[in-house]
Amino acid sequence: MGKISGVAYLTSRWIRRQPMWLVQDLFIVAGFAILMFVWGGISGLRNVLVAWFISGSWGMGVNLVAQSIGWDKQGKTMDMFIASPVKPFHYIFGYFISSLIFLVADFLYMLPLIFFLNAWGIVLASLIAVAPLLVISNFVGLAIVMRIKKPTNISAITNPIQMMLIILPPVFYPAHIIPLPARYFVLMLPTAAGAELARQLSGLSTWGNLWYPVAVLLIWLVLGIVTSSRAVKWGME
Amino acid sequence: MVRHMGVVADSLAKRYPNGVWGTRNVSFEAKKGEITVLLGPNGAGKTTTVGMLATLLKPTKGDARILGYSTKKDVWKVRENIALCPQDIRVDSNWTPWNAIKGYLMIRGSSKEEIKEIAERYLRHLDLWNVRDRPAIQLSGGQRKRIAVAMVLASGAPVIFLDEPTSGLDVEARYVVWKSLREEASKGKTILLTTHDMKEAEILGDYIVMISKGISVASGTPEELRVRIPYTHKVVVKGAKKLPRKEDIDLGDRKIIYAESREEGIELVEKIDAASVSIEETSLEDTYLYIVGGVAYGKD
Repeated sequence: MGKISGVAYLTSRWIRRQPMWLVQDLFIVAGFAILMFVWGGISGLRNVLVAWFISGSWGMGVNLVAQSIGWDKQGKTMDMFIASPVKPFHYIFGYFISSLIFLVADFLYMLPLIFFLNAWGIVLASLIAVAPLLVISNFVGLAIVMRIKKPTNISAITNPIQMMLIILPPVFYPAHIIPLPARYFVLMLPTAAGAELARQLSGLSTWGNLWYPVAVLLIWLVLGIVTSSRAVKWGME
Repeated sequence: MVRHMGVVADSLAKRYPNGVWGTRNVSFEAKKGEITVLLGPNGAGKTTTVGMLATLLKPTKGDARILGYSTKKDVWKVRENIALCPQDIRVDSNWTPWNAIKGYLMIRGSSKEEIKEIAERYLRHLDLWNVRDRPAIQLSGGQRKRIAVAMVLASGAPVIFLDEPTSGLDVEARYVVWKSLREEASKGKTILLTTHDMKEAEILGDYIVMISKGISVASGTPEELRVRIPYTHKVVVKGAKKLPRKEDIDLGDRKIIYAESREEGIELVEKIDAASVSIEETSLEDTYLYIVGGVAYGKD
């Protein structure tokens, strides 16, 4: 436990020193809530709750954890961790815990909206979708950062992936507006599948095909585990 | 015999995936309670050697033992007993010296009370106590480097690797680090550091391993190595047309001539009709050049 908390302690320093990142999140959450309300009323607000859970959990692995590990590689602090009793599990889980602050902060920002809409059902459904998505995004993030030759390039790789998988597919909007053959294709993306799973569980989706997003997430889970387990090399290279 | 050894490197060789050999054959022993210096120019294979000892790299050939544990077979046992300060380490700019040592000690399993006591001790040793709560971004390059050194020294690991820990430090900061390293060695820790600075090796090292082109070419105490060159003095001369010995070094309009005594040095200068600039005793640097040869002798 000491190893995980030590890694979490060290890797969370930047958040304490740069709290404006958390303030930025507040404005994004509030801004999107206004945007969705203006265009979609109460239904828009309900959908933005799902979207925030999905984008927060996806961004945590692909963006936060991957970028932080990239900087560790670049600054060689990772070498210090390798040449110590820290195991990959301690290191990755430590980063995971230190990055949780963003999910917690986003949740706190959403609380007034959740109370206002009495949307606890949506919260529960979203959390069910968030669980596998968090694991997938962390594994995908790891698979990327451990493979790249120049760790300084990590932001240039993960930022576009993050935006592409959050803004473009049906995360901030429901998948059921996409015609059926194309819907299956779009829902192959983990973020879209996660959002669709949360929407179906909370009754926000009119499409009654729960197993498709579940199957997609399971496939991504297996792919994420396989690719990251091959990519993560803890020294002895 | 082996029980007293902190590190035993046996024919370590590393070939990188691009086909380049980082080291070809590095063998040496580093005793507990001593500072062993891996000495060599840039690209000699020092960092690769440390990488293999610290389990960052897997040796292509050979093996090493850290406190008796194989770096190939007992990786986790080795890692429990080592701490590494990598070359060109850049600690997180958001870490304060206090944060850095506290977090690293948490990782190493120290209790809250221990952390407080140990962190203060090492921050004072490394002259970081007055800036302990300042984030690294507000500190000088030397202070940031000392944070990393303080982390590994405070770790309590019995075997410590430091890859060029004083490169880029000013004179005062170097002495602060040297003093801390000597103190740690006197506590029985095995300290292995790399440097290309002959003076540093001579002052700090109990035992020196000279590395050239991936091969450990000589090792011994500074005193033992110094007598490996059969000359006691060197004369820097100008105006000399030719060099009396093949070991002498041509620096263009100045030349370095080696002699078996001060008197012989003066005689040689007269013999070749040159003007003497300085005459001094040979040092580890001369031994290194004598053993390794290389660019100075036109043998690179």
